[in-house]
Amino acid sequence: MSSSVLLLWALSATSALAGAGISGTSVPSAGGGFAGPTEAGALGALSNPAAVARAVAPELLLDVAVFRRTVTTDLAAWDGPEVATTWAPQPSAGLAVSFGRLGLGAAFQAPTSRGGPQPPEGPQRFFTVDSTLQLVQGSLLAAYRVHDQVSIGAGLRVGQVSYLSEKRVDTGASFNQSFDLDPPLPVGDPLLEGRQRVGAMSGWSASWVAGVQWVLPSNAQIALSFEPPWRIWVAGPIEQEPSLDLNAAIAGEGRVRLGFPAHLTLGGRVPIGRVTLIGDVEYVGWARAGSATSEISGLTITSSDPLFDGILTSSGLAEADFLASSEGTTENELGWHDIVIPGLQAQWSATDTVDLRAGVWYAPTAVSDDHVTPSNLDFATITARLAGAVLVVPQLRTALTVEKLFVPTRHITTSPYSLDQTVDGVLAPSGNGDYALDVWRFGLSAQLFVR
Amino acid sequence: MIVALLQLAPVASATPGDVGLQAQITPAGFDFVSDQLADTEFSFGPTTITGSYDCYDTIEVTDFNLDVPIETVTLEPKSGTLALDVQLGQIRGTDMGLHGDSGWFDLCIDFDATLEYIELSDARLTGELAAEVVNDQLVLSFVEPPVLTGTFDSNIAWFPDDLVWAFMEGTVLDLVSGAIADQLPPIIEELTADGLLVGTFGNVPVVAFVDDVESTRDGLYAAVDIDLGGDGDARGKRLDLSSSDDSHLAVGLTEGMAEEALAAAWSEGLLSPDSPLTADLIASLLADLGLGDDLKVALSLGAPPSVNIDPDGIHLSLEQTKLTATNDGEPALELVADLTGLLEVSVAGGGIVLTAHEVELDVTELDASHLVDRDPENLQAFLEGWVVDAATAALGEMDVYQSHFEALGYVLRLDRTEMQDGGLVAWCTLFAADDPAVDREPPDTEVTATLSGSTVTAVFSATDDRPGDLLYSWRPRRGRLVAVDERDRGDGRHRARRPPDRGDVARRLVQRRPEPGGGDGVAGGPGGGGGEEGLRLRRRRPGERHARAGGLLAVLRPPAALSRGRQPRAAHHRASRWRPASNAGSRPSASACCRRNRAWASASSGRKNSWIKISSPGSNAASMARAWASVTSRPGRTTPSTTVTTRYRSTCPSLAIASSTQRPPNAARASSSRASARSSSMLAS
Repeated sequence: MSSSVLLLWALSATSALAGAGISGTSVPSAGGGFAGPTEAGALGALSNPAAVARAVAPELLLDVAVFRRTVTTDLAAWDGPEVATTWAPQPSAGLAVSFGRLGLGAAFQAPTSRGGPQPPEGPQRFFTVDSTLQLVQGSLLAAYRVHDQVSIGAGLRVGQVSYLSEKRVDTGASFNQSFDLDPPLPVGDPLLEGRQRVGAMSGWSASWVAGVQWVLPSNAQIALSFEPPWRIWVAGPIEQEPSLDLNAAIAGEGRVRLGFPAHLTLGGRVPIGRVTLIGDVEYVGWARAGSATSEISGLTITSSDPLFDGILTSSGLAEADFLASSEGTTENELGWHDIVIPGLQAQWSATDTVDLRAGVWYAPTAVSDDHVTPSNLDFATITARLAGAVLVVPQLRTALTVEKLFVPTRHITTSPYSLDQTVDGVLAPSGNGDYALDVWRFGLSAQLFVR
Repeated sequence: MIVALLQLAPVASATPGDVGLQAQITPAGFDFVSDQLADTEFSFGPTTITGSYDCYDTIEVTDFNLDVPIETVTLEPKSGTLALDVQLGQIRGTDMGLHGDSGWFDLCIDFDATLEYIELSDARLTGELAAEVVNDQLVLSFVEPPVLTGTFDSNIAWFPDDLVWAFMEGTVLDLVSGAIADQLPPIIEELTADGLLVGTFGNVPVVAFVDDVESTRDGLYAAVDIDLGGDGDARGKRLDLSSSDDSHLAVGLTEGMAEEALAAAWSEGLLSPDSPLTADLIASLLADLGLGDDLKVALSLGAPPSVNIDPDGIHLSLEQTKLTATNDGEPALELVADLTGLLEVSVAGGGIVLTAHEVELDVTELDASHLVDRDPENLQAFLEGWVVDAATAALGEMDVYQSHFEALGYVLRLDRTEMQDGGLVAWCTLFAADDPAVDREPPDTEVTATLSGSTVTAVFSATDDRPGDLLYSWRPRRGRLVAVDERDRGDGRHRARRPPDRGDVARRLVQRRPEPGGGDGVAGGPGGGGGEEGLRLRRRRPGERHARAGGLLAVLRPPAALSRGRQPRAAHHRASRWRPASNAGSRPSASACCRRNRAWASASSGRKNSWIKISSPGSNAASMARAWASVTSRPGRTTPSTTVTTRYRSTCPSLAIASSTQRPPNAARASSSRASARSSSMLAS
């Protein structure tokens, strides 16, 4: 029992992170369609701190974007596809002020803001019924132009994570993993379908970021930035009901150390007349992020019914050893791997005040077929972007961005998961089936200048 | 026991009966009976016998006495009769007074003489026994007077022996043959004076009526009606009791008899929640589950159980079974259900093994409002599904009782059972109480546990004083091993009986039992007279049997000599509750423990298809799960120096091991005669 319970909690945390956080997030879209690692000022501050030293005037960037994601899950072992559509906001902001060769700035973004409710009786319910994972990070940036063409910068990042999840659990399956019952408990029995809640966990941590931008004599640019991986502990209450029918629940305290990937971005741009070609290659270190450390403590089993609670107390089940043995620390790996995302954009400056931009990126999936489940889902994507910006007045520039992710359906036939056995500590139904993703992103940004 | 069945074996009836309890003694069984009667001796006198002979009105022998040794006995079943051939040793009487009186007008000379001795050599008695049912009891008698032959010799001081011979030879021969003819049935009766089939079962009077008998070359068949509470006969069809092996005895129980017994138990409240039977069962189960003292469970049957027996097994139906669970007096769960199942009874590894199949539960009423907050439909389906399957698995080859019993001075070993249309038949082998095959010395047992990874291996080895067909054993009980007699110890309800030694048989043969009011079997001289100190054979009167207790039920008592297990020592580590899968004579304390002394394990005796799951009791779900532990084994004789290897599998994160060796208090006595070694998880059969 001990390991299974522990794994269940840990799995919930890690897989929620996976399902909500990994899919479709590899495109550097914070700041709107005109932001990027080679941009100067506030547009570049979100991805490269060296940009703040190249601000031509104090500027503030505000961007409000929203993702519309539709995930279609058609598990082979369950009837019918399940379609879930969620809207996820993704605000971001950047600030850049230069004092001669010195530049100071700040950045705010929510690089991970995923999750949402799913049908509680849907086939995915054993993976997720509801989840929210939100990372909000703010950065204080400083940069210096060591040369007219070269700027270097660094920043202090502070991140805050909020996390909750709910899913159904098959108590029969989890007991069978721990006890050699004869006969084993039935899997899929309605009485043994329980619920697991990881309630409102939150935590924060600090990290850093560094970058360099180099302007070549032909006005071409090269930019390089790096964000190290970081891990953030979140803590909060946990609860598991072994059965939705029974008046009993196991409750305790949980802590999960979530991992977020490293980013290494290399960008370049080449102006050719009114057209500028922009390219970037981003390395995302998902491998180190695809693990979570979970700690469980203070587990007790209680009932809201006084009589049943009395039975649990008098029988010693309320403080049973298996609960105590379920406490402790465990590590879970979800088999993610690092990816490299290349992208190419072209910007046409139609007038002195109007710019249009189009781009495309390809992101391979970070999750191999044998690890795909509804809660550990990722796709290979081709992202197409169209954006337009208008300098309304010298102090204000607005931009509109539309992105469409072209996502091939994943046909999973090699899922090793089964409620009859754990795989790498994961006890879940089979992930075999078809998964489809449809994503649109809409963004509106405003760039304010002081001049 | 054996002779009791002889009592049930009259030959008079030509039509076999179809009644509740049926038995058949096989030719091998008669060989055993013959062996038990051989090498015994009985005596007459001293008494006075009188008669007349020739010119003597009265010839009187005072202090008449005879010692009659029995050398061999041969009993052979035949069609309609039992052939008896008794080879007697030298029959001898000494120091008797002899007086002859011819009267006033006779010419013979009166005399007074001393009979120094009389002897009858090479004596042999042959005859054919028959039996008949008289007043629902069996009376064993010779079809014709038995024939006694031998060579007579005597020595009379200063008196011509011819006269004495003429008188004494006939007298002695008649006396001995008549005595044997008269005594054999009473001997049998005397041995069964406790009333083998008469007594009480709870508050139910048990009355046996011998109904039919049949003798064939295959053995002697007897059918007995047992009326429980006088509410009617329990009849059934004739069961096939023939044997193809060396079993001594076959006993058949018809489904009608079984159903009547269960009905009687039900009507007498033995299956009610308040009865000790169900209360003890439930209490034991709750203790094993570790659910605390506040939770009380009551189980009762709303209707008498229904039984149907066919070759597949015993089809048992328990309708309106009610289970009520209360916590601190407040109802927590009420359930009414009909339970049906197929039970198979077999003998394996020294135990009576009960196997359940096709168990079905139909819940008709369920109140679980305190446990579930939604429609209890899912709970009901779970109870009817997995819980029933788990219970069936728990009853899969569950060792419910030892397969050997000790009663009336004999040890009966159950060899095998067979389900037939309409009844259950069991074949048995009998051992004398002092048979060397009966093991009465517990072996020394050593247990060593080692840890490798997450697996604990416990090795049990034992040394015993001798090999044999009957081994000292520990028996598993609900997931733990207990001594063969532990269930009967502690409350004093079943006190082990002292096994009679072989001499008891002879003593009973010569026992004088003055019969108040006169007996109806008197051995006397040719004249028919008899002194008050003469040999009296006692017959039980019909009304007497109702006052007896015990009877057949006494047979079900565990053998005292095989019951020397000891209670666990409180000073032991908690995990010492674990029991070895061996025939240990002590309580080994080897164990594997997870933290907080909670652990669970599975064990194997090392024999094919022989494994044991055991658990440490405690108030956790692991123990709950392991409370369903079951035991399987295969029959077979153990061999010396068998090592039983038991593997514990633990899923606990931390593991500690304790191991030790413990010797029983009488180990020194056991080891003094230890010649060979063996170890077995079960009593071999």
